[in-house]
Amino acid sequence: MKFIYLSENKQYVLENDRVVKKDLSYEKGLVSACIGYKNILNITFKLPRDIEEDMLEIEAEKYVYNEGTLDYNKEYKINYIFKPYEDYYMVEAYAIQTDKLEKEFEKYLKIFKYIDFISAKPFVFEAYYDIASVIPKYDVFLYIDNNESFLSCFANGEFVFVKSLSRIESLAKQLDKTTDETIKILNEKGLIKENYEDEETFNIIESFFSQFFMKVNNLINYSVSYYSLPKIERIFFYSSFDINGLFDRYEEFWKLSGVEFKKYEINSDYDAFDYTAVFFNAKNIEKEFLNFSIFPRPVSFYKTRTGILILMLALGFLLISADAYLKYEKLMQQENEIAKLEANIKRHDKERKMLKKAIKRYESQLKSLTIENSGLKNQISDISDKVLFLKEIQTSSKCYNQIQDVLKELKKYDLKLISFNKNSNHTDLILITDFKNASSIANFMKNISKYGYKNISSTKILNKNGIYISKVSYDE
Amino acid sequence: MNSIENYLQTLDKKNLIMLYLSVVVVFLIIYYNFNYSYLNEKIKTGSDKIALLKSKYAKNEIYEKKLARLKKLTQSLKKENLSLSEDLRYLNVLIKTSDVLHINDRKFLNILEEVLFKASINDIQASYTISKELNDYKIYQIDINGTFDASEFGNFNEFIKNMESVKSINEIKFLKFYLNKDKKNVYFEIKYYLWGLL
Repeated sequence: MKFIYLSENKQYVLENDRVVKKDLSYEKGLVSACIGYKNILNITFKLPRDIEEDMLEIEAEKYVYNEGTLDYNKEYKINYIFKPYEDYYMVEAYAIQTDKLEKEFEKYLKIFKYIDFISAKPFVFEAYYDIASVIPKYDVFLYIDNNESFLSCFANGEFVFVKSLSRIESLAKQLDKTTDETIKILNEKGLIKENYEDEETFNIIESFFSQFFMKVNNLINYSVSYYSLPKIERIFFYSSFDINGLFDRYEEFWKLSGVEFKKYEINSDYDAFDYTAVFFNAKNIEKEFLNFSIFPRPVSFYKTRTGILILMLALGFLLISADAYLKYEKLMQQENEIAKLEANIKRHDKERKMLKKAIKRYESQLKSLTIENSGLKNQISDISDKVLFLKEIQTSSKCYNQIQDVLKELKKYDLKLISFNKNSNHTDLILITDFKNASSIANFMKNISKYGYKNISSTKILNKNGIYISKVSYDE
Repeated sequence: MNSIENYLQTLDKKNLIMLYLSVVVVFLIIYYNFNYSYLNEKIKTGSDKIALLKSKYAKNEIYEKKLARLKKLTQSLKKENLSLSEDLRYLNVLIKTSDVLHINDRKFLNILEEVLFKASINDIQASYTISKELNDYKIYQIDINGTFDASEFGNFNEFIKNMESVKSINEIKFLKFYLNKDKKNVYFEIKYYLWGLL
């Protein structure tokens, strides 16, 4: 993720351990900045050691408002640093008026809307050791820019205290020039007497810096004793502009005091302080007690209670709507299906009517055909029967043949025919013969059967005067 | 929106949960009444209607099957009708063209004339009664009663033969002959039928 540091209407972007300076424009990332010491009210005090840790901040706040002359009518962003000692806590309270913070970062907020982390300039030097590969000792960092000057003391890399110093602005007043003109003089002529035609100007400047460093010396001596520190070993001097001849002039001074006087410099083309601030902010962004930002990222809407409520309403509405939509779709499908079915049924009803009509027609046709066929069959059967009947008559045995058959057999057995009575298919014969020839009748009957006559019987036998009279019957 | 958020921020956790729960309950009530009850009821009604319509829809098959069966039956009856008509026509042609199956008065009289002629040739004394009957058939009946000399039985036999050999459907339905007491004459009765189709 990108780390952005805002300074002097520019932005430094730290990405993959590489810093790039750009013009101001919105970029996604963690946003940080630095606030000058001049805006910070630093109150140092002691609190009893027996206060419970979670009450420390409350007690400190009470002290700051009661004893630290903070205005109750104004809002402050206050950070505390508690340093425990044997009998007490040394408390450093850093208070900034919120309206000052708002004014200071107004231009950046127009672009970024929020600033995740705002550090105080005096703490920034902590990152210098890593950047410049300098071993931490008892060091003092002097900071001078157009607007402010302060010294920041670090003991073995750990911040101890900060004190404000005379500003360039006061020098400008003494010279009766603007700050920019003064800076220009310092840059060009600096503390080299030969550069000045006007000795008075040089004397004022020389006097300012002599007093400046004397104050530094005094503050160091006082604070060393106050904070129970051993001797200060190094002074790193940072100014946002060059001061010609400053090091030549005061290096020796500090050397005599047993302090190394070094220029605050890093291996980068960018401003040394801003470069340090980028890494400091990036390293300490999670530390709330160093953060003076009152411009947090807006909480995502869905994380607010309104957001949750609206999301719940939206979700509920969505679920009900989605379900209702699916059901509505199903209803529509059903309506379509019903319409189709009804149309089909209507068609089917028509078809059914036609089918019924056709069935009726076919049934009546069938009935008439059945009757007609039955009539035809009857006619055929009737005609056939009649024809067959007639044919049967025609082919039935003839009377003549029957008479011939009877006569032939009568002659054979010497029988006499008295009566021949044929009625339809039945024939009765009355025969006579001698008694001695009685068996001839039986033979006659036997032979008659050979011609195909059936049911041959002799039903009446009379024996009269030696004459045998018999009635022989048979069917054709 | 800010005023809502400010109000919500004033609520403690319990009240906030109650608010959220009440929202859920409201949605559940809406869901139950609208989605679950109203819409589901409509869907169920629709499904029932579809099922009812489908059941109605299926019934035409019975009529289609019945019609198909009737068509088939009608077809077969038509074929049968055609065949029977052909048969009847054939029979009618057959009957019309037959000499034997028909008899009329003229033909009958010719046959009667021949019978009488044969009777006289064969010395058969007889009386003749003729009648005509139109019932299922056209029947001409000749009842013959007579006598012949017993020695002339051959002639009688010939007379019978002649009667049965006429080119018409004939039948001697009844034939009775017996020797009279005088043993000289034979008395006979004949019922002779000539058949024809109407």
